Order: sequence, then C-alpha cells, then structure tokens
Amino acid sequence: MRVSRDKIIQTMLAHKPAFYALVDYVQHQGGSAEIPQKLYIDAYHQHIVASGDDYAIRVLSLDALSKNGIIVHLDHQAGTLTLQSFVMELLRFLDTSRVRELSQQDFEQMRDQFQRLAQVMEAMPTLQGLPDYDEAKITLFELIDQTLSKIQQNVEGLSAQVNRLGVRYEALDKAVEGQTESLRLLDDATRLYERFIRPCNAFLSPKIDSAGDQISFTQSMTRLYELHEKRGESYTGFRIRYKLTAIRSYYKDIALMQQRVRRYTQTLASERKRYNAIEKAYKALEEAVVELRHGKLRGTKLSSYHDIFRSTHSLSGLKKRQVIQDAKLNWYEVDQQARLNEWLATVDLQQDIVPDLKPLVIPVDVDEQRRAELMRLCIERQWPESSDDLIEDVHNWLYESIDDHKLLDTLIAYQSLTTLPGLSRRLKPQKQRVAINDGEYEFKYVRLSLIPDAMNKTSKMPIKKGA
Amino acid sequence: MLDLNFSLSSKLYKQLINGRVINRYRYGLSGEQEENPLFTELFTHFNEYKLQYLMSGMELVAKPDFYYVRDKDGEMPYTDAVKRVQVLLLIVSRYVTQRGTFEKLTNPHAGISKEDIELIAANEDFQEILNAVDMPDFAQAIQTNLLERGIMESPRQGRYVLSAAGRHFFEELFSASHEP
Repeated sequence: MRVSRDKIIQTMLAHKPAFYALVDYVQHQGGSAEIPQKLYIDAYHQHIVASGDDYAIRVLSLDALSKNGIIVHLDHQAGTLTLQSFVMELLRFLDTSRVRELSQQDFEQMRDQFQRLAQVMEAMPTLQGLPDYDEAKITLFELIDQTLSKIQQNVEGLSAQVNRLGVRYEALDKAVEGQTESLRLLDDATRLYERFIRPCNAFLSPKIDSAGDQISFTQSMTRLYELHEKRGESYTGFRIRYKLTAIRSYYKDIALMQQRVRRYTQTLASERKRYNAIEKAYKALEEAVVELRHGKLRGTKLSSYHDIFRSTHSLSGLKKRQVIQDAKLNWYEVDQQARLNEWLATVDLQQDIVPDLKPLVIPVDVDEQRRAELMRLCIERQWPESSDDLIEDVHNWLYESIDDHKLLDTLIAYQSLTTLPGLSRRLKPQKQRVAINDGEYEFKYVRLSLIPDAMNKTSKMPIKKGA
Repeated sequence: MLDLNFSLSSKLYKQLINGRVINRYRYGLSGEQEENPLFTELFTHFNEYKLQYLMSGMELVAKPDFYYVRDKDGEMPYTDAVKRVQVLLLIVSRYVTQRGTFEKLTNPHAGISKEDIELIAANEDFQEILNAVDMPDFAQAIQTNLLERGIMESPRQGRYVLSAAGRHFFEELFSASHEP
C-alpha cells in the first residue's frame, strides 16, 4: 500500500511512543542501527493496535513502513529492521531526553573536518573566483550549521540528563536501597561526565591547544576567519567569526553542567569511600563476634583488648562514667613546682569560692523568657519513672542542661513541672528535711518523691538519691 | 594568679572525670550551633587545666574541636568505654550507610530518629553484637554512651547527630582505610 510520506510521518507522530522504544533500543546498543523486528511488532501491538486507530494499524505495519521507505532495510533472515536516520533524529529532536549525546569520537570527527577545510583553503593561492574555493565555502558553512545544530541538541540532551541525575541525587536519602542507588548513581554520573560532558567541554573550550596532529575547533575556526580577512573576504570572515561565537555560546552551559556533575561524582565517590571504610570496620567487628559463638569462647563477651578496637585512637583511654570522686593524688617526684602551684591555687580557691549562703529573695521569679525556656525543657524532658528526691534531681539535671544555672531556675522548673498532668499526681512528700544550694542561695525543703505511674508500664531506670 | 572561671571549672571537672567530652560547639535551645563556654574556658586556660588534671593523675587530651581526660597511668588506652563507643558508632553508621548517605549522621537538619533507633534495636545481627559487648538495650546504650558523653548530640527533639568527637572517630576511620 503506497501512502504519501507526510501522512505516514503525521501518523507516526500521533503514535510516537511505539517508536520511542526503537530509539531507546538504539541508544542502549550504543548507536547500532539494526533493530529487532520483534521489538517493533511488540510496540506496534502495544501502542498502535491497542489504540484502535484503523488507519494507523494499516499504514504503520512493518510491510507498509518498508514499502513506503520509512524502513530502509528489512532483514527477514536476521529478523532486524533499519529505520531512516532522519526518523530517529526527528524522534530525538522531539524528546530531548532521548537525544544521542555526542561522544569523543564525534567531536574528533568534527575537529578533523574543520581542520581539513582550513588546510584546503590555506593551500589555495587565492580565494576569489576559484570554483574549488566556492565549493569549499559551501561545505564549510554546511558543516558549521550542522555543528551548531548538533551542539545545541547535545547540550539540551545533556542538560535533561544532568537534571535527572540531580533528582536522583536529591532523593538518595529517601531511597529504600540508598546505598545501591548511590553506587549506581555514581557510575551513571561518572559515565555521563567522562564520556559526554568533558569531551563537549573540551570541544567548545576557548583554549586553542593542539592535541597531537589535531588542532582544536577554535583554532581551526580562528585560522579560517583570519585567512578570509587577510585575503579580502572580510564579510565571509565576519560570518565565520559570528558562527564561532554562536557555537561557543554553549560553552558556559556545558561548563556549569560539568561543575554540577563533578560535584555529584566527588560527593558520591567520597560517600563510597566512607561506605567501604565503615563496611570494613563493621565486618571485622562482626567476625570478632562470630568467633564468640563456638568453642572455648562460647558465651564470653568481646574484650576491649581485641585488635578491632585499636584501629582508631581518637578516644583512647576514655574514662568510664559515674566515677565523680575519681581524682587521684598522684604526685610525681619531678613535679615539685607543680605541687607548689597547686597548693597556692588551693589557698586562693578556698579564699575566693567558699561563700556564705543566703536565703532566697521572696517572691521567687525569673524573667518571662527564662520561665518559658524552663517550661519547654520540662515538657520535652523524658521524666524518670521514679525519683527519691525530685527537686534534687531537677536541680542536677538543670545544672547539666543550662548555662549559668541558678537555684531560682530549679524552683521555677519545679513550679512548671507541677502543672504537668502526668507528673503532678505522682508527687509524694516524705518525712525528711533536705537542702540544696547553688553556691549563693540555699533552699531547704521537705523531700518530695516521684512515684511510678500505675497507668504507665514502660520500664525506666529509677533515679536513686545521690546517684 | 588566674582569671579562671571557677563555676565553669567545677562543671568541667565533673563532666571530664565522668568520661564526657567537651566539644567546641553545642546546640542551643533554638537548635542553632553555638560556641560551648566550657570548651572556650579549656581552650583559653589550657596549660592551667592541663596541670590540674596532670596533678590528679590524668591527662587532658586536646583533639581538634574537643577535649577529654584519660588516666595518666592507664595501662591500656583501649578501655571498656572506648569499646562501647566504637561498637555503637559502627552499628549506627552501618545502619545509616546501608540505607542512605553518611551525611545523615552529620547534618543537623537530618540525624537519626527514635524510629531508626528502634529499627536498629530490632535487627538480629546488631543485637548479637550488642549482646557480645554487654549492651542489650540499644536505646539505653545510645543514651548512656554517646549522648551523655557528648559523642552524639541532639540539634532538635528526637534527632541525633555526631558531635565533633563522634565525627573525629570517623575521620580517623576513613583516613586509615585510605592508607595503602
């Protein structure tokens, strides 16, 4: 069935998802033009037959496409088909995410073409009136326009790919298999950077360094416009210079992309290194624990003397907790001067810091902001299940939690906590008088216990008085 | 003799000999990072404080962005406390890097949550390791060995990140793994 090509193209565009499967296949195969017929037949059934569009079903069949020249070769023996290259280009043009990126080889080919044209024109004794020059000039401008179009599409395609990388990068922490995705993302970003972005950046670079026998694109174009300007073809020289600027205008875009992808790859690469280091240390720990499952070590605990704990020294010798009065008088014979200084300091300290304790000023209050902060701390605190002396517990807790802690803060916090519904009903006065001080003021009170909540069965450690 | 702040020095003493590290920065009530006055006090009068602990048989150890003390005559620098801290940090970091990026442990806008702690506690492999170092209750172990020691801190309610001391452990681990 013969059908006009414009009708076929229109119908194809109406059902373009069927053809995108072919574009994706070619892309995946690294540009191979031979596509399995089965792939098209599957897409044909899935998208075209399923649409119920009778006209499309007829004109987009494998045979109809072949007869009308859209498929240039139908190899029944190999079971493959080859589409017209313009069809592939058209589909890629419509969806920038499917644009075939220009590879190092493509750029080398373009550089080579510009270099050869520059050499041919430079070898001509004169430019005006020479038929060879006219032909070369037409070829040059065709090549320039093709290059501009390719670079423009390439930058659009790369930009879409970099954006996709960015979306995946941002979603990394929310990914279910974050580490696997992180490794995959690093591979994809590295491939995009090394294979496509860096060669494009090098091609558009204003630098005119030569690589071996090949001169850069900028250098060839510079030689071409200088040649024309020298030989009286100023207008042509101007046009070449103008086109060079147009092509090189994408350099900034590609440089930004390069910067962005490099940031991803560097972060992901250092993340991978961190991951490997943690895995290695964790595996060593796991193996040490596995050794405790069997034989003589069965049932024993992992010793702090084990080699796995010696790989880092950042906290070596860290003291155990709750040894408040641990200070030792450990005089060294050689430190006599130190001993004297210590004695002097002790005398000074005794003179300076033993204060007379005063009763608190009544009424007891602090400024509003402080009161609000104390209230917030009380609300946010995970209160112990029980406490022998709640006021002392609050006093010690605030001393650890806030700066310039004063006795007044303890009292205000106590006032606040009595308004908390979960706590107020659990307070029980005892028959003992006790006191706390902050070095300036002293507060004497009847000991108040916090008793466990009968409603709440969650187990927490009780706070013992003096702990 | 000195312009030492005696209120801070007694606070420092209590914290340091309890095995707590003093970090350069801490999180304020509004969740913003601020200078830790205890660190500033130690930094300003390092020699005096060094002498104080030296005379009590201890060494005041200065690390980048944090201080801690250890016994001067300690026979073994790899104490039980070191073991516990290292095991917990490795378990937490393994959990985090298996699911996402290490940054979760350092970014104050991220941090591990209580749900993460529950998931770690429910993991059998982690639990076997925790039992082997006598810390069966993971949530309690995190509280006692990392949060109360200043190795992890809470920039906001229910979220925990590494302090300078915690980060230093990993910096050392990462640089050691890069060595040939």
